[in-house]
Amino acid sequence: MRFLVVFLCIFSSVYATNTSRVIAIDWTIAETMKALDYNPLAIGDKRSYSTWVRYPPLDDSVVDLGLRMQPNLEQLITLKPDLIIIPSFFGFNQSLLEQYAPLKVMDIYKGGDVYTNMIETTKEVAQLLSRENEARKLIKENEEIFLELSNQLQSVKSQIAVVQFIDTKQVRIYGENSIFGAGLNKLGLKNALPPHVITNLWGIAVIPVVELLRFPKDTILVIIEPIPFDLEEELRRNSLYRAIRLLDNKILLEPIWSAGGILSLQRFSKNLTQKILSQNNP
Amino acid sequence: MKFKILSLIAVITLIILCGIAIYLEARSLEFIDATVNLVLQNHTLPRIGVSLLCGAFLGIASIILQQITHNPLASDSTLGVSAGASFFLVALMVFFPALVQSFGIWFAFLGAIFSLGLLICLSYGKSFSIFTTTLSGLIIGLFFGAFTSCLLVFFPEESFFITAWLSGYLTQNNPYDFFFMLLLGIPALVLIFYYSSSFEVFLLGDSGARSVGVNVTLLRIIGLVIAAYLVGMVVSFVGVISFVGLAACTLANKYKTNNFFYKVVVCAFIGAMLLGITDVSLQIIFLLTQINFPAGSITALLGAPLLLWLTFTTKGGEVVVEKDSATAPIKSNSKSLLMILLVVLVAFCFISLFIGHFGFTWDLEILDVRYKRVLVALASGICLGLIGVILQRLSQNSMASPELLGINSGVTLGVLFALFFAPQLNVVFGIIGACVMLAFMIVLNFKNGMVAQKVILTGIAIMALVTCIEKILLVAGDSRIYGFLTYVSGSTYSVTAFWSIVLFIVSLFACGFALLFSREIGILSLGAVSASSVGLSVVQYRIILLLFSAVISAIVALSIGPVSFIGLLAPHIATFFGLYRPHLQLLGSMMIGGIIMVFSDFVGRTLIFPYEIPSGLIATMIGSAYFVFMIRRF
Repeated sequence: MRFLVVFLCIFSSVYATNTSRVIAIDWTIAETMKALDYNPLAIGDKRSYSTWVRYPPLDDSVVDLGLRMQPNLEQLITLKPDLIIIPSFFGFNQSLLEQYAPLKVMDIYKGGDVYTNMIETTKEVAQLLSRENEARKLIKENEEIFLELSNQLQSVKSQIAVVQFIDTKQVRIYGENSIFGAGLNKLGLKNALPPHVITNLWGIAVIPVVELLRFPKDTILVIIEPIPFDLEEELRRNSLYRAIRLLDNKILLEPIWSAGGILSLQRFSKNLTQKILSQNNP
Repeated sequence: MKFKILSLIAVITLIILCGIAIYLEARSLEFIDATVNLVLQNHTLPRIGVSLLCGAFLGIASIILQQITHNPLASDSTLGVSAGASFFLVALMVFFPALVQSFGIWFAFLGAIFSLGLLICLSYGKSFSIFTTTLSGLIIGLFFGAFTSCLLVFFPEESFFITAWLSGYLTQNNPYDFFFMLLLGIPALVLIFYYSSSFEVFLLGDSGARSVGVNVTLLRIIGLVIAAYLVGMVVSFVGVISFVGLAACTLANKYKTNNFFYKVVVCAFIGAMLLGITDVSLQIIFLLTQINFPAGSITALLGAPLLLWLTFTTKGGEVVVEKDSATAPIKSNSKSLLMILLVVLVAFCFISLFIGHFGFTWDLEILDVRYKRVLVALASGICLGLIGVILQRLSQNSMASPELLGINSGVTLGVLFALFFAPQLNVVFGIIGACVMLAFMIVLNFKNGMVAQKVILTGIAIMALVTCIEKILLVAGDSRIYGFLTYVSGSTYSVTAFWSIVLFIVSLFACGFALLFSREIGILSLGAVSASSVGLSVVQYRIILLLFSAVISAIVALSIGPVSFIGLLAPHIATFFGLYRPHLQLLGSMMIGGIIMVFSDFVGRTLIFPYEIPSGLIATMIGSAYFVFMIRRF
């Protein structure tokens, strides 16, 4: 125990002074770092980051480490990082990576309130990078943005269902504990998925498309892109789907990473607000 | 009579369950006017219809496969037909998503045909002996499964759209799929009716059938095409449904009849009932609790115990020695050959150690990463080569391989548990899994005298459980599953210095042990009868050697994942080089195993740097080259 305390002291003092070379293997923390105006030294799966997370875009200087599940060790060694941040579900390789640099485990999606986790993780990352001021600014700005957005949305009384189509028969629906659930909550909107439905750690449940019938008719359906290529035609043609009133006032949102940080949350909320308002007063 | 009563009970159960499902659906929709009928017509009823139809098709396909391969264990799941069809469809969806709508079914059909073709080629020479066919089928299933999980690891985003389909949801959104399937099924049913009396000829055995003037090959091909067509249709319309076909046939086989058409009807009926009752129950569970399980994976949960039970009630564990298909032995000087292999092995190790993405390097830190991987690749290659020889000789079957030894499934299950409860303790959980599996294996098989074939099938049943959990997690969007998929695809990535040295020592020990027993291994490969006639205690040695293989296999599976096909491949190549005598084959196979593994690891690390292709997968690709080679022999 004493050893641990000493270790942590050294640990934190080292990272208070020298914060230049930090690797975030998972995108969640990479995004958070970028939000604090810091370019991580390297991330995993950079190739897909640009199609899946997209914003904030990373600098070209950020090195690709290969698969997130197996960050390339030879690449890692040549980079000589001061700190590596991994999520807990990469714990598989924890002892391995620890040999090459100090390691920190950070999660946003670990159960509990997502927004609280998000803020706390951001603060933690900021502390490691000594960017507390940026973090304070980011969180303050975030609160302001949400205050403004929720003011704009005060007249909206309908429930919101956020879904992602797996194929033309199944959808993922996002519950309270997902990033989108947290967004709706902050906007003062009501999530259409009842809280008793069991979701996983990322707040996701899989339901048949038909189940959308059960939601109140004025529910606003938010579909996160990308959608299956044959969905549009199916929605037009299928008599059952035509009966689902929700699909008439659907909102399509460009891809937002469903395990993102504060910036993804903001982007979702801003895009959603804009779409809802433009639909209400065309 | 008993059958009639049971089937009546099944039908009544199904009807009652359907009634409950429809009632629940209707009641929950009450407040939404005018849509109840719409939902029932487009969702609830078609779903029941499709589940019945799929069950029936899988039952029919499996009974045809059983008939033409004389194999009570044959089915779409055990022979790798579904795996082939789904790999083809996954590849199509990842690379050409726009083609799926119009060509999906034909691609799935192509995949099914392809894997059945492979099966025929692999087991033709052995005149379709029960265990050769089963093992070949399982190998093919593992083979396509490895490629599928690789696509899932490398294209997690692209494959998002197919996760629901992979796990086998029967959800419907219109009645047309049902009618379309029915329509497409009719030609197959007509063909079966037309040929049903001819199929009965297979009961006489191949030579018997020929003697009554039947073109066995043609008939077999017709049967295969029909089976592949039916399976391909189910896979492309609803997805992968595990074990329903096998279960239907097993139950139908209890009801003895020689009339093949009658058998087909019974199988279709049982298959339909099984899948129908399962899916309606799942639908009711969803309506009550909002938990949405995919029927295709749940059937695997039910199928695993069934396969176990089947294994231990199927007769014919002890196989008569099959004549090895005559290949002209290459006359070779085995001593110099072994020397050459050794030189190649050492050379590969050095290349792999010093050359990488950054070119030739002396950087000690990088060498520190590499030496462990080279060491582990080398040691596991050696171990797999050795136990491959032992297993193939012991089971007198050239398709036996450590992948199929139940113990790997135990390790995999352990790692899967670790992923959720303590990701850092994956090795510990893996060892626990291996021990539990080992104990299970011993208890189950001890009184049978550890017949290798039965040990192997025990493992497959456990594997089915693992696959089922994997697919449910995949569709639920649980990111943790990608860690598991990475482990399964087999890589030397996460080895520690300690482990690499342990493994190396184990491989040296294994080598000594195997050579020490090489005489007994040679005698046991003559079969139980001959072996005991020269005074060898068969059961005792069998237990020793199988336990040895199991332990080694578990250690290897913990370091490089459960599947690599080296154990299958290396002994064959050794024999091909003319190394026949037991100790020569052991030595040769072990070095060939080492060479392939070190080479695969090297290629995997450097080919698309910084991304790593799992070495197990590269080894599997080399294995596929071997399949091609086997086929050329016909």
